Amino acid sequence: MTIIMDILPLLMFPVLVMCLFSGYPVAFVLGGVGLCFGLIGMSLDIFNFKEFFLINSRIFGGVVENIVLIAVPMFVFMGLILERSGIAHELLDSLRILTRRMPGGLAMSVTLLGTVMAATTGIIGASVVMITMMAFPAMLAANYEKPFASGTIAAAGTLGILIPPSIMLVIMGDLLSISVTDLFMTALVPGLLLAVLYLIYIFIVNIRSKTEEAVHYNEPVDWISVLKSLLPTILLITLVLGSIFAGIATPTEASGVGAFGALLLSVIRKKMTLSKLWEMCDETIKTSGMIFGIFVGATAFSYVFRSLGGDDLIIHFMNNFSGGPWIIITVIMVLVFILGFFFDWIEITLIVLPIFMPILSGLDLSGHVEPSNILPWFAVLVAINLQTSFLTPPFGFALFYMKGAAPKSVRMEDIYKGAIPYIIIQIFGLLLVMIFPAIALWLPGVLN
Amino acid sequence: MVILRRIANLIVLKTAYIGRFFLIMLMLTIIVDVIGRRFLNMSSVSLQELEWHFHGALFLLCLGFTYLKDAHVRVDLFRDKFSPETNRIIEIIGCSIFLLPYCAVVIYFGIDFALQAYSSGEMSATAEGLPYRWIIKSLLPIGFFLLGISGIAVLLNQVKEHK
Repeated sequence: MTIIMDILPLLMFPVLVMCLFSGYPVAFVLGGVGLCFGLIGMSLDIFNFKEFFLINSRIFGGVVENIVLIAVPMFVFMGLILERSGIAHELLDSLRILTRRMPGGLAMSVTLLGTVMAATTGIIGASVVMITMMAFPAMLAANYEKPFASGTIAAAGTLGILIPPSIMLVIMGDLLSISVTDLFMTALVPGLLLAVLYLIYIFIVNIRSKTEEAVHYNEPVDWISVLKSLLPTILLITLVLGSIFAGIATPTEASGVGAFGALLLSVIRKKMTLSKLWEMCDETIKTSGMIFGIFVGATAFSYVFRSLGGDDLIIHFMNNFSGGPWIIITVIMVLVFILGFFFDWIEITLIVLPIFMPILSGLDLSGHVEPSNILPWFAVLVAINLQTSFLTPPFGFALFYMKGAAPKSVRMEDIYKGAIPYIIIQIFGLLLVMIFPAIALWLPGVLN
Repeated sequence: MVILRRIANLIVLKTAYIGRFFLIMLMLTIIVDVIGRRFLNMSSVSLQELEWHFHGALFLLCLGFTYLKDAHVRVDLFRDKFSPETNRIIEIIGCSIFLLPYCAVVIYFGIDFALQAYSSGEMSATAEGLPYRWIIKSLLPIGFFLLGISGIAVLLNQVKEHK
């Protein structure tokens, strides 16, 4: 009996994973499994029914009263407005004109679009589908090879979880109790570094090939309309990020202003109708219900886990673990990478990060990373790692979404093949940030 | 049964309007707050509290709507390979053993939670903050009630198709 009591919290995970694979919504599986284990705990006299009351206070104190998390629906709303109103499409067209004389110009525009839009919509699936529908047919028409085109789009579409104002960073900041502003600063340079590495790769691959866009090549360019579509959007995103980095606005304030700015922009451009606005609202509401549903479910789940003694178990296990900090980091990284095959970042960050939190904050990497910088640095590593995982065949999350949205002639093998060079770039980037933490930590050091 | 299902659908789908309202209000409140604080030098605690009130209302009241619209994330690795019949059974089991008991527990204690706030006249910790904490606290059981209703609606739909 005592053995069951000891391992009960650990049993929660295999049961959770099994039930998640049933395909029932993650949010309710989390809450339901938490509840079931609470009831089992009651039958073993190690859990009191009244403790469920505390789940309410946890939800209220941790999620409802939380000022940081307000940024999530606002950034989602902002991203959706830019995307659905057609501003993103215009942006792509202008970028195409700007890069038309570069080798692989269209592929570069796609990467730049992914960087600028930074998937504020939040869900990897949604942003990959958006860029696929927008750019894949055009890339095929411009004679790009299918594998190259699909790899470029998948990488650009997943870059958004890393580049601020990514809502994943907002949620990570909240979970790890570090400032979201700091985390944004930490993630910016590694995110841009990856984007630059992509661009270099695109340049090298296309330098000899004839994928130039004959259509745009010789036409006279209407620079005014290019500037008109480019400047306001870039300005909006720069303002949002700039005000956060300069310390003028909190991420929450900047998110609200950003959403409002995007709305104004779409109205001025005459791209907004009332029915479109309601549609975007409903989409934001659904995304927000989805994210916070999981948030609330994970709160219930991890409350029961802790109450059954799960935290002590993990800390105890880690104290008896003689591998040193680098081994611990590697173990967590491998785990996150594998989980990334099956789950979106929302589940992974909400379930896994809180469990490892007590271990992470105690890591001693003396000389390599300052103790106070470990958490932001680690969060960025997890973000790059997850992005890589989403791109990795055969399970890569982003690749499946892409297959669904790509033209029928594109085969899964093409998509797998195209992802490989980008995975190598990702691993290279990940190692760079691991070995030279300054890449991530330099900007917050300068700005603070 | 049919009427029950219709009522459930109606209630939950109407919450989309409430959600839209809170979303727009949230955005405008942030704007007013930012303008006041940065340009007019008027910092307002109650505006900031209003922001998280709106945000809480937004997602709590829309959990059920999200489920009816089937927008909650699922791990669909196997789901795509299961037959529609299997998926229907999973949905029925999931609703009955996960969703509905989960809602029942949160509602049961949530009512206590809101009542405590009401009877103790709980208000903001700061003097300039908002009073009547019971209002936002009662949205917790109400939100889960709506989620439960939509769970019942989904359940009835699946059972009907199952027959």
